Amino acid sequence: MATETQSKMQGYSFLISETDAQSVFTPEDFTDEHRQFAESADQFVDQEIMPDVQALERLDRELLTRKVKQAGEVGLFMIEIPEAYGGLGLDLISQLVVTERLGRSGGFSVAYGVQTGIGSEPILFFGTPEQKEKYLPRLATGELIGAYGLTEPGSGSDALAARSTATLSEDGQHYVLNGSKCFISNGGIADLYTIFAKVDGDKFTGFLIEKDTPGFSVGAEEQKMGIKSSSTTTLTLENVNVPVDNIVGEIGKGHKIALNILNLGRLKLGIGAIGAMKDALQEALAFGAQRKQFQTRLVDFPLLQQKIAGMVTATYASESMSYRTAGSINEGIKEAAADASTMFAKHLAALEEFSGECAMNKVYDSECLGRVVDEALQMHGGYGFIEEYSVARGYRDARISRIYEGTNEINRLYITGNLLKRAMSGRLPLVRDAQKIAEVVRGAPGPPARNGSPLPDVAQAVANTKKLFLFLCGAVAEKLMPDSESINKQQEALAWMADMVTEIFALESSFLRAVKRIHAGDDTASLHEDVARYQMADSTSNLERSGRELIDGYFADDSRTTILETFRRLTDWPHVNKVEIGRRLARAAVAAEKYPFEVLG
Amino acid sequence: MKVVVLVKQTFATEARIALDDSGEIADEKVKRVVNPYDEFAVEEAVKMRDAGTAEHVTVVSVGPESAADACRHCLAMGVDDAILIDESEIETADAFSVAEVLGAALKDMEFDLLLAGYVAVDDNASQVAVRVAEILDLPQINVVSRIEVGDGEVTAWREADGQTEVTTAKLPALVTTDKGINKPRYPKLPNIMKAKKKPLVTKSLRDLGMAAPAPKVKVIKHSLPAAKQRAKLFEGTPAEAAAQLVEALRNEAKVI
Repeated sequence: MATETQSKMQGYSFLISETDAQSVFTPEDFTDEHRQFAESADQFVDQEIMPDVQALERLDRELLTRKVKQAGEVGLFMIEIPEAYGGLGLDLISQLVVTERLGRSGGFSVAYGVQTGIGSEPILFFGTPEQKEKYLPRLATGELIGAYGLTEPGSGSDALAARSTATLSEDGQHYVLNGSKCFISNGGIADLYTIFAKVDGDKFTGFLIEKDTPGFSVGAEEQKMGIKSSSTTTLTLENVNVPVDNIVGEIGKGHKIALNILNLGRLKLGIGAIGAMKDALQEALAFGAQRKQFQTRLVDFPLLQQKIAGMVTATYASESMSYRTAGSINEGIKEAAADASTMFAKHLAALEEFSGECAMNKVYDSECLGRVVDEALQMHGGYGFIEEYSVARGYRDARISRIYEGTNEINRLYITGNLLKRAMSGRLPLVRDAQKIAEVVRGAPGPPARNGSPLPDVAQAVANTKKLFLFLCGAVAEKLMPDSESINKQQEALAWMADMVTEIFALESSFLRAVKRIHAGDDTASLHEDVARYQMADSTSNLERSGRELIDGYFADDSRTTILETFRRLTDWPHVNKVEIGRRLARAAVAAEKYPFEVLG
Repeated sequence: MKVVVLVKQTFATEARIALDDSGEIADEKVKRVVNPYDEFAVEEAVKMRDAGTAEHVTVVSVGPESAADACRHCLAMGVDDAILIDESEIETADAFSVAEVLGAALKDMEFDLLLAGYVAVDDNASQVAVRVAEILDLPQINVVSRIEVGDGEVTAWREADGQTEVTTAKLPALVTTDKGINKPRYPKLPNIMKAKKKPLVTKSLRDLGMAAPAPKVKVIKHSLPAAKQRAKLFEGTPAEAAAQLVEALRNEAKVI
């Protein structure tokens, strides 16, 4: 196994190399400027959204539009748009801290996410200078509200199978678009839509359509289970004339827009989920501190303390891995900014490099959010089931996170599929390492104890999780790989492997963040140690389950017995006392009355 | 018209204060903000500048290094420039010392209107601004809920026993703000960026040509308020409840 520390990080490279904790971006590395942005975003949510949340939840398009405009006035849409187009041209982290703070605003955060994401990024990354000039300054201020039409009634995950058509007019000035779109966020409030349709029936292409274009119509609002404050509609295109100048990117290259933007969207979704997790945790802590049963505050019951510890740990892991990914991408973007001519291409390359991690964050953060809102609601007891408390809204709002921006199932297939593709092409030296590891685990008695780490037990667990994965990956590949098509049909294997990869990334990210705090001599370092160990307990048991399912699903008889022998050796995890650690983490959260690792105030 | 606003960085009102092992306030992690009452004064000044009544607004703060954040917040709200006077040489930055320092700083500055919050939420002393006005021999109107600036004078409204008292003073003058006077804005993102380019000057006492004033207050120890005890509810007829109350006051609380 490669143990060299890599200076320039590559997507998935955490699986085959060690990472220096100092090189990892963590929330503790936010700048004053990031904190000031977060503070203004918080003020916006507190002052403009929360007082009207009941009215917004009844979906009043006019009110929602007004709130979007107000967010524009505060400058919340300007962050990523270059200064030349009326924006602030700031780094990805600045955008993400604001996205996180908006995460607790439920449906409004969807309107926000669309405006700063899919509503403006097609133009930002793929638009012509004229399109940028025409639209970006007005998107930056909120004068224009953006939306994005990809999904169709018959094509969700299989987005490229869209049936909308675009035909060049006889005079060559327009494309005539026909078709229908569904589940379009901001559908009912947008002014500018990026719509995908196939030119000549097969060339998937993006088009910019302004709302008043004849033949273009917006359908009724969907009655949704959650994110009720947001507008979600169908769109109908009936002989809509779109000027040829409104093509985004190249004809037939619409998939490039759709896929690249999805990478960033997945990271942003994960970050938004973190904001929602912190909010749910805070609600649970507030309720639990005030509510007494048997003359005891709920937060003083050990069983509920373990719930709190679980919520804190899940939030910490999500934060650690998502901002780590953001830091890696941000490095790539910073390099790109030096040369304006290649800026967007390099920007996209940085996103593509970490597209696997973006998918991991999407899956992991959305599922952590699912558990956090569930436990937060449970801590409210019967009151959690009543709309008077905001935890019910949070619970409903969370559910969509596992569905949009690519279902978690599609993302799981992507995580492993993309990993194997990179391994097969030699882009990532995974096969070499998997083979090496197979030799190592067959011969050696056990992993060597690692010295020098301030968290030696977690360091060892992290190393073993990687060995375990590479070992199983090697075994599965050996069995299924000769026919590379066949592994793609083994979706169960791909999903279990994706779970393992993601869990390793989560555990290692929590570990590295804790190590960084210990090195910094932070006075909260011991709490960081606790949370890293609690994560170790959770991650290793999850990994063990996925690994076991993988073995039992694909191996039988002697080969299974042999593999299980090694499996047992590699899953001899260090001892963690969740009782003690969990209670400590919970007490810290109860004392802070919020997520105890909060650095944004 | 030039306006100077005095601001203090305080702990956030919702912050939880703890003492460390040596009995000092464990302030490393405590969130700090611009004293909310000073923020009213800043908002008022920025509104005057936006309306054209004032042409320049400066904030002046005496504080530790971290108070630069408070200054930057004011700059992002729209203030033109900021002066932070380093308090580290002052043994105890009590109201007397801080007022002396501010007096020395303001003596050399040109301004027409001096604004400040009427109280800081940390010590609740309501001392510094009024002392500064005395040192500079300025008229002062305190705890006001409305300010209007006229030709060479300022008029302010203050709530007094259910009545409103309207007072006019010649400029330069000090006016201190109460809550309810306005709703302070939170900084827009582009203004946060613009604020980075605005002047924030840090000065030492030496820059002001003064030695550290000898404080009048000596801090002997910090202690947290005793934990609130649960309220006790006495039941029964009024006569029974009263009897129990007297009993408790005499024997439990031992106050009568």
